[in-house]
Amino acid sequence: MKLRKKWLYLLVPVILLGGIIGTAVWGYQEMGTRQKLQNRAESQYQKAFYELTAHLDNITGQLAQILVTSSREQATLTLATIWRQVFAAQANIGSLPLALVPLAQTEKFLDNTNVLSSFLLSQTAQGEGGLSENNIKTLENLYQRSQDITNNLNKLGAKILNNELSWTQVETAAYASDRDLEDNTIIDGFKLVEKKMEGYPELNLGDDFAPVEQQTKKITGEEEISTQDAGGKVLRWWFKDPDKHRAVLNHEGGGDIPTYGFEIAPLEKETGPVYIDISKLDGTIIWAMKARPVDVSELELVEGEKKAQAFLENHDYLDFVAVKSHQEDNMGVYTFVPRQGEVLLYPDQVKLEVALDNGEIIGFEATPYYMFHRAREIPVAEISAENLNSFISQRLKVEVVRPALIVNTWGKEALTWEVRGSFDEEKFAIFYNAETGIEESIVRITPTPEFTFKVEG
Amino acid sequence: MKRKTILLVVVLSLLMVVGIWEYFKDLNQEKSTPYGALEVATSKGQGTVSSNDVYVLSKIITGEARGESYLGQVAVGAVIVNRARNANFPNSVYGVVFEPGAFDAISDGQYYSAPTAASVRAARSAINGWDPTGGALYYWNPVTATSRWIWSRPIISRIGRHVFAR
Repeated sequence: MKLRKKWLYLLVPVILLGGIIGTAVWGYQEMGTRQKLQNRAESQYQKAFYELTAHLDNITGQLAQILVTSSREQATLTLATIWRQVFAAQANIGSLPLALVPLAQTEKFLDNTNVLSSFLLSQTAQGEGGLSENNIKTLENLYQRSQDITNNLNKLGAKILNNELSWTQVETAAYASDRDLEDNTIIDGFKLVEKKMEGYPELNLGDDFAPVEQQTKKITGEEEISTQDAGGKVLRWWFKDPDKHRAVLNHEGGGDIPTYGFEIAPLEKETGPVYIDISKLDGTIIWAMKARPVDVSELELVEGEKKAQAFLENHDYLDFVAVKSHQEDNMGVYTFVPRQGEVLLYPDQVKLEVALDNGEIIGFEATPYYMFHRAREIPVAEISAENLNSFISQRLKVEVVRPALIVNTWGKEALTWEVRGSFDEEKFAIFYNAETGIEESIVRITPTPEFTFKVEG
Repeated sequence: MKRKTILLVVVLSLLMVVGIWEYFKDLNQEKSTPYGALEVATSKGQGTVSSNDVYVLSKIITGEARGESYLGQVAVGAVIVNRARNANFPNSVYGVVFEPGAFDAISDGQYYSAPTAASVRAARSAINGWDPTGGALYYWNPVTATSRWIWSRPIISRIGRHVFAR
């Protein structure tokens, strides 16, 4: 009897001890796994940093090269290399845990180099020889900045090696409060790079680059309508029975356009809330959304397009042409543009989402139209539609030719001939400048392949 | 009497040890969700997408804007789309979403669960150009945000629990 009791008294602590040892072993294993993962993350960050430094070093060298070369072939190759290296450098920055470090000027430098080199490349490709005085000056400026960044990054690289600094520490610091961030050597290194960039004057790339902002309507001015008026307008604009609904002010937008944002709850037999944003300045409806699921498609895409067109006409968006329509799940998405004469105005877009179960409009987006639409002075096309044929490739099977105003790669508006055609299975819309016949833009509009994925309830 | 209490203690401690072991086992499994485990998630609907962007965006919206209204979800999606189109950020939805430290839902793994049907619609709207924020590049929850730097950005809108800034 006594022996048995003693044995039992031993059993419990042994079991508990076993539990503790088990937990300790498990904990040790977990630590090992975690260390391996951290090492892997660290090595990826280290690699991204060294690649970044190498790319910037190359860019500096290439910029210097292009300033001294007299050969057109060399210039073309050098520009292509710079373009590629800048793209890679931008990707490297995106792989480092620098999300909370302001690097606006540094990124702007990379963007400027990107834009200028690709522009000069396209010029060289078109046979326009030589760099202008302005271009040389700009390249010199970019060279100086590039050299500055490279020097600083090299210094930082040396510090990282000497002091065995860790990137994963930067990452952990970034998740905590940024009190730790302020004392971190690596972060300080990047902040210094940025500070040096801020010290340089703003770079003007030249007249060829007109930022699109310059061409928008002035979205400022005295606020003209009250919340109550806005609410009433919104209801009357969307609903056939406005008096039955109530518009509640949900948010006020202070972005590109000052707006009131309303939420209208559904009545008993209706679906989803409707959200509508209205301009504070002149009471124009900027966008609208109805939040409801669309589970089946009963209508064809073209029928949805007709519904969309009808909606536009009922709301005073007259003479709009559909330039893009595609189906996503059970929703038809349509892009419409207005016309000036025969010319389609691509920058002034209005988009619509139509539920293909009953043809209901569930989305309306007119921000580009509101910001960019105005009466424009459109020149007469120097190249006629007949002469255009000499510019079009033989391999393209042409379907549609029409005049269109677009914004080109460099942000400038240009009158073009839009040529829609196909090659094998691929569909394209190609825009030829109506003055020079140069291809301003090729857009591939082949429908992309679909894949299904599982969705939670 | 004593024998019974001892037996009770032994059984309880055995259960405790087994329980702790099971708990840690489960914890391990939850963290490493292999792609195949997606079938385990309840899926009442099926989403068809025409590109990876919608898929990635819907997952990040589900993770970041859980409990937000549809408007709030589209707003979060729009911020990511705005970033992809801005020169200062990576050039793709993928690049923006996977920038280290940029989104909590990536760091804590919430991203790796199935997206909700509403977030898929919100992602489509955001990619198609609907932007309730008016051009915002940053958003955060003012109650839980820990970064002091982010407050230096000019706030342009407030939707649901998030404020949006340039």
